Amino acid sequence: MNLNTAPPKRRDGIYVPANFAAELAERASRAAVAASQRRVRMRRLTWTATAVAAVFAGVVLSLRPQTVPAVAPATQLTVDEAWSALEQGDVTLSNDELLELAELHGITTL
Amino acid sequence: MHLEALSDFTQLVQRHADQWYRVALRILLDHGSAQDCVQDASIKMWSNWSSFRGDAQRSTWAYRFVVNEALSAKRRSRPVATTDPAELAAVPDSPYFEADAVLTALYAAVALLPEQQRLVFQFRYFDELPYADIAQILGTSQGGLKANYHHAVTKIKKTMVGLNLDLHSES
Repeated sequence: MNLNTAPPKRRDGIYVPANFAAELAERASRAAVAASQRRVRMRRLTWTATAVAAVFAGVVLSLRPQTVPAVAPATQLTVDEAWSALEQGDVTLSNDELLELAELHGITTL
Repeated sequence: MHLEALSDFTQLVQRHADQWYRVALRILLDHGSAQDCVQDASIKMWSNWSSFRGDAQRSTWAYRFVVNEALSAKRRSRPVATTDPAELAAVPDSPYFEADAVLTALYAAVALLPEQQRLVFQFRYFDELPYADIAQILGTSQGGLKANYHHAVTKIKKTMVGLNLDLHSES
């Protein structure tokens, strides 16, 4: 019966005990998996942040007043006049225009 | 698929961690740095797991990460040139290293070799790896490796001749 539990002799003089090797393997595997999970989390966060930024930029761009109108309007209406015209059914607006006008008019819920 | 890959990866690490530590320790000569190297190499292995093309054995593929990581770590921590003999020690500083006078002299002789020759010699003489595997680990041709090994042995013999120490010849 061979009771010698010492690691086999190596030419390089390095004797790695089994328990150290097992510990090292366990630590290395855990670190690798944790790093990969961190990467996935970071990727998700980056994507979310990018999506939120894109939506925000879209909203800002759509609400931004035109600095140079392509065609000068014939008449300038105040917000109140526009709102009255809308209430009286004199004009029809798209959903976006309606929201924009409502916001300018100080109405936050429709 | 992911669980299967994770299981394969864990098994690979368990089977080869001691060998990776040995390789890293011989390059870095420091117990703690060798452990860090195995860990960092494992992280890179796992993040590149799906890019393995199967043109070599997984274990050979994994060796490359350990060697590259160890060489990078060595370059990062290159000490300032010193003349202090204690700091010039070429033997690994590890609780798992034991050397007699012959092995210490061999390590000192190996330390004088250029990097490529040193690596080839260590893989061939210490680990007894076939040239085909060493070629894949180091990404070079077998012919070049044989020449490197031959030059390394010649230089080591020359260095050790004063001590009347010799290595068994290998081709």
